[in-house]
Amino acid sequence: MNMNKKLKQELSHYGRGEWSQDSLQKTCAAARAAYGEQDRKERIGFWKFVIRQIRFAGGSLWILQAAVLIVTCLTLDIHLHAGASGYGPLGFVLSLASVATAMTGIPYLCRSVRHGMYETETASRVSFAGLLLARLLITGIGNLIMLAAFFALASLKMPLSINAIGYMLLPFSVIWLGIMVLMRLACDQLLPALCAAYSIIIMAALFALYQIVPQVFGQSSVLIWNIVCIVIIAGLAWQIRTMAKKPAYMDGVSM
Amino acid sequence: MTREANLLKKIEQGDLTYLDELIACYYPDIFRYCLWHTENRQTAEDAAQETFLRFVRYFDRMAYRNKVKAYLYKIAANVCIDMRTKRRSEELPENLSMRERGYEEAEDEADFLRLVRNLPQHQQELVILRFGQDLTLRECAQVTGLPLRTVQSRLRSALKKIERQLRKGGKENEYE
Amino acid sequence: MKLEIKNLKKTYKDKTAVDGVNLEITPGVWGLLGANGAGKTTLMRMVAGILTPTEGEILYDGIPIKEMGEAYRDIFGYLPQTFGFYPEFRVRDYLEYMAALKGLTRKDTARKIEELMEKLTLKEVRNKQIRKLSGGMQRRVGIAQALLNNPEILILDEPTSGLDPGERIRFRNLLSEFAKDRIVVISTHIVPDVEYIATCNILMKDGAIIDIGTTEELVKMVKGKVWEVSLTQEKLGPYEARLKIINVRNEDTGNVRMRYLSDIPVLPGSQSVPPRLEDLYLWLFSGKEEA
Repeated sequence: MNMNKKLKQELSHYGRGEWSQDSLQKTCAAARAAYGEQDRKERIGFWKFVIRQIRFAGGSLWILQAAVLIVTCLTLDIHLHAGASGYGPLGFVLSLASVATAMTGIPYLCRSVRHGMYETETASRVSFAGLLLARLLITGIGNLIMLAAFFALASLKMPLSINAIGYMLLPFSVIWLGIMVLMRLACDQLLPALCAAYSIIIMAALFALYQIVPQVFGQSSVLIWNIVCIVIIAGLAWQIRTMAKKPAYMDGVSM
Repeated sequence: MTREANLLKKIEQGDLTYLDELIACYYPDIFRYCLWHTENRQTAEDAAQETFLRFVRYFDRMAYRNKVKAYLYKIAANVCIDMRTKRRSEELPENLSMRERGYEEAEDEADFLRLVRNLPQHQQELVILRFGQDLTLRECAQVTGLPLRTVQSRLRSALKKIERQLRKGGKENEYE
Repeated sequence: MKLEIKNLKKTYKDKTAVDGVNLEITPGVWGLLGANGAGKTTLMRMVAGILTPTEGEILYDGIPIKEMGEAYRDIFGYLPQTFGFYPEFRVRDYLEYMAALKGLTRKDTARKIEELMEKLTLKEVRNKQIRKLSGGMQRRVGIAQALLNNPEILILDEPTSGLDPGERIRFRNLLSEFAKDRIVVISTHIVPDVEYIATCNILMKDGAIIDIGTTEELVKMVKGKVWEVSLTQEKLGPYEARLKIINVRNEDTGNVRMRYLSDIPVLPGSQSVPPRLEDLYLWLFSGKEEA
């Protein structure tokens, strides 16, 4: 439009070429000086932060994971010796073991709200989101070791094909997804109890399935387990990503 | 622009020649912007310098690497407001006038520019950024923090107002 | 260094916690005064960047803090009203943990912790479990944590509750010194703690700012409304319900000296006394406060 052109013409000529090289140089020198006297704060990156968290995870997480590992192995060993054998029972046993595995992370992941540290942590630079990621990694590594151990033990009883890990990964990711969702919606004192209750319900559901529809754990169902597992893991990844993209605000907190 | 992101990265690593380059790139435009707002060459130079000093000081805090231009204008806007406030409190009422620039054009300032000056502040600012400093609509939105729609509608109102005044014969308005 | 709060609002389903707050905060100590439930904590959480406002924005040196993200939290120190510690933490563990969360390098962590333990006299308890320390000491540890990253803005929510008078004085001195080039905002309902160190006081009621000013400016509101009178203990009874009593002191003569608020003197022999900030506080907020 004519008006636009006229405006542009007039206004962009205003003051054109009136700056001086001198003052530009002065500005550059001043800027350099200002940059130099900045207190260049060094800050650690994410991975260094994770490594530092290992110390604070405390032996308590790993002791718990080790204890659950041993107890679960013994329990399931007994169960399997008691005559149950074959894919079905093994699948059932693995799924229970994976729920127990996932549950070991609950105390550690929910530490912040249990002990009133949540608000202080959220206000820090790394904030709760970064802390949560670090905790998920540390817990996850322990959990993976546990799951691998269970799988290895089960394979001793009966040779299992690799896609049998679906029996473990599906319940495991369902539990973790539930924990993440609960954390986003109800990050307060009740959180650990809610997570535990949720896990127990899943465990009860597995029991019920085994009694009523044992074929669900049979060899023919493995494929379905794996497919559903992939969907759940995708959901879990997306949930974690949402929570990590911004620091966990006090928005959902009722305290 | 990735070129800017590169510049910033190099500056972060301590290579200050790139800081000079960044400043040299934006200085003329920022100076012009400050000149419009302060109407005094000396003050404009001070304002431009302060803008870049603040930029350096806040360097660590920049959360957005690809919005350097908008960021600089935002700082410049604040600097000019601060300088105006300071000047107002230091000045005697008799000297308060819009014609302080000291060069001839002030008196003969085209009616057109005067019309722009008489626009209400929120419209004037957008007109300057868009037509005087040649920022895109999106950049205008970033600098002012307004939604794109508001920027567009305010610009439209401003243009209409100017057109109306021109049709009236471009007569001077009373200062508001 | 300027914190601008523009039209800040926070509404929940059943109430409005913060209702259109506008503030411009510059370096110095700012006292945020108000009764419990006035919205102080909600306001502070929004300023800390950990609670999303329903409306309005907060700018630091012209940049919205939302956009600054972790860069804002980096220059920020915060001590919430209620805070806990992991049970196994000793003082040093806690500070090292928080230093890691604030991104400090190992070297900076060690140096800063030494410095803060010195300043806040925590050296003797560095290896003690925090759970076992007194409330006042725990609060000092909390304040130490807030200072780890050498913040430009320090926000303390009710920092002096639980401190004994000696600790309160030490705390005041520490803050005065710290606030020289920084913004410090202290929310409290214990008026004397900020009265003498605050450059400016902000009075908050029902989610809105009802006044801002230095102590001298604000107490003008109750000038000529503060009275003191001596009377016997027995005579005190009936007045306790009828008057806004600020405090009652025992006198050597066996009588009590009562300080109260009123537009006109109610008891014969009442003397008008110069008002303090605490008097103003009661004038504005009485009815909601515990004595």
